[in-house]
Amino acid sequence: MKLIIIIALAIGLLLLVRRRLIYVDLTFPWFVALVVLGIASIFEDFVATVAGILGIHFEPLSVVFIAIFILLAIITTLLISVTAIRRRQIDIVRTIAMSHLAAQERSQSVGEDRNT
Amino acid sequence: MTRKDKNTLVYVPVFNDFAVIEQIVEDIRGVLPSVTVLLIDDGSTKGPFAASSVKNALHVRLPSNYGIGVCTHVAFDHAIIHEYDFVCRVDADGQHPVEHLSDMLQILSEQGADLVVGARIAIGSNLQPDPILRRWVRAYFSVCARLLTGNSVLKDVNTGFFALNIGAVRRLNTYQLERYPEPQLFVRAARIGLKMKLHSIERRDRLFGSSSLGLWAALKMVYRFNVLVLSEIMQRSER
Repeated sequence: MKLIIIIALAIGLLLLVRRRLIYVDLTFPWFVALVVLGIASIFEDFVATVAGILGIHFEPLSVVFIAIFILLAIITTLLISVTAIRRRQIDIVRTIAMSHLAAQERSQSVGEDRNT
Repeated sequence: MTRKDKNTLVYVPVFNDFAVIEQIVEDIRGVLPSVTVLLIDDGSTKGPFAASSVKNALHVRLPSNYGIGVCTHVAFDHAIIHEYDFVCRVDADGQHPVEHLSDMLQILSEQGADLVVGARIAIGSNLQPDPILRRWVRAYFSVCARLLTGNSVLKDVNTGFFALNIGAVRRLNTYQLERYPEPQLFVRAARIGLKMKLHSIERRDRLFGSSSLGLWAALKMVYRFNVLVLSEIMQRSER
């Protein structure tokens, strides 16, 4: 059942990408998260091992920590992507502004030439 | 017309403060008749601002509000492409005494400074006093900037009134400037060893509008400044 849920999530993700609702590069952290969740759900020992490493006595609680870690990883990756997109957007805005101003600068210098 | 004026670009970032913009352009032209004035409308929401109606000025409108950092990049890009020698910044709210521009340009050309900072000092009793929080924040910025760079010029790192030569423009344009870029600009300039000079100007009340800096924006500005200081501490001097 656990595996089916993971596969269903993966198919859902694939459909979103296929319909171009999500840019494929941005789905990578989601994909990694699904793999981690898949491992966590298939191998019972995985949760126990994580609980052992983190010193958690109530083993199922380690799933919460894994989920928080995955969420933070996804948020960080998305922040990096959004920052990169914003930087590219600013570059485009600067380029457009330059082309607007170049035309005005040209017309101004033509006017100056005529006056002289 | 002097060569110094002719090769100077004065840029004015505008965001919803259009009331006195024509007056400011006129004042600039009164002091320096041959400079090129560049109005950068940072995606004003109240308007439409007819920048094109302002005579004797270049104008560009950004598609949305990107902040003064992007406006500064646009002005710097333009100055580099069209080979201006000097670039000055003036705010659109009438706070800056533009009659000081010629003195600032003189300091750049004759004293060999790379960057002249127009530091505001309160003269006269008719001025509205700054809120205490703003004064504390300014003092904190100033102390941190001076401790970090060892540069005593950095007394007012929030002023938007400055002038710089094209060499400084080229070097500072390589950094990604933030929404309120003044502290970043001055600290970087000091860290990369640009020759900076202080030019005292009288602080004036705004002729129009109010500060775009609310409490939330101010908190973000302090946060951003602290990040800047920490990253500068971690980075070795690039001088």
